[in-house]
Amino acid sequence: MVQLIASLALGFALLVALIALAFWPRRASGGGKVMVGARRALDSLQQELLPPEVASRLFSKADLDYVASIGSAPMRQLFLRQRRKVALLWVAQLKTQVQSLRRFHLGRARYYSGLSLKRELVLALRFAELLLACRILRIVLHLPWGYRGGGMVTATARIAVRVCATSEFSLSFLGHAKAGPLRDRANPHAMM
Amino acid sequence: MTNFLPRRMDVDQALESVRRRTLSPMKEPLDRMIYLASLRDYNTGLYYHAGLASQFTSEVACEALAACHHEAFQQLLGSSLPELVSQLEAYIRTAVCAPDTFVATWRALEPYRIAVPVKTDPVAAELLFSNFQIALAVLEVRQKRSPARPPAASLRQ
Repeated sequence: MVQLIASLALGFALLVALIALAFWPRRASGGGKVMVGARRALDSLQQELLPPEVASRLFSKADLDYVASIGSAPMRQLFLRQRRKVALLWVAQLKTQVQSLRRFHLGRARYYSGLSLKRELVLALRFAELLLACRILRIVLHLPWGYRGGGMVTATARIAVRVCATSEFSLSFLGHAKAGPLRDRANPHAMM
Repeated sequence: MTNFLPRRMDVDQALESVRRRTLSPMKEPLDRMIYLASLRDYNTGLYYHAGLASQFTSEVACEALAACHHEAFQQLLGSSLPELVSQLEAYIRTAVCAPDTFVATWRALEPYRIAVPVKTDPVAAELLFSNFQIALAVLEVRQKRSPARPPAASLRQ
């Protein structure tokens, strides 16, 4: 009886192993997409979301002073509403790109880059820190004095820059994703 | 590599030609962005300029115009709110309609939304759209406070 159970258990284990092996190649081919997605996310972060001028334009005191000088309360409200909308979009984009990078690091990075365990742990902490900062920033931006959250945006961007620096090392073998008008011919409607 | 280098040089030459000849009379980034957007086919997203295409090739012309469009967009994005208001005022002066009609139409139709280059970062585009909305609201407030009409508009009434 014991032998029968042991044989059945062994058979089941072999079946599970076979199923896992059958699905293995499909996962490997999906890894390419994750890597390219991570590269794009990194490029988007470095070139579009994290340059300091983005935050400075978003939370420009000169713009706020200019609108205040007009002396119209609805005008000031419109300005603050618009800025909040864009800032929330910035946070959402940052979070999406960071999550894409994190997915890559969780799944594939260790196969392609020689990250040490210590470096991986630091990176995991930074990802957590960054995603927490995004959540806090979203709350701050909804507050009436959210426009003064410019400093926090800069701090969040600084953490993201550090994450990008580590990810850059992991993705260096892929090179930079390039885009131009002629390369977009296949998908000209991909506006944004 | 051997094919890429001459092409890059062609694009650089075309870029220089567009900047020196076509865009030099347009001092403001807003004028340049709207002009360059008007050279783009809405269906294909490709830019057409007969003169430039005959001088180089249509591909080279397209790439040069796209680069100029992106450059104008970045410059406009870098403009402060007062600068954007001033650029809009200057643009309105060149338009053949009353300023209040212009502002009302732009607020309703938001034509600037289709004037940005392809593959623009959504945050950058949204920041520019937001600046346009604020700048147009500023102009509207000013017009309400001092409702002045240009002579052309007065003649039509």
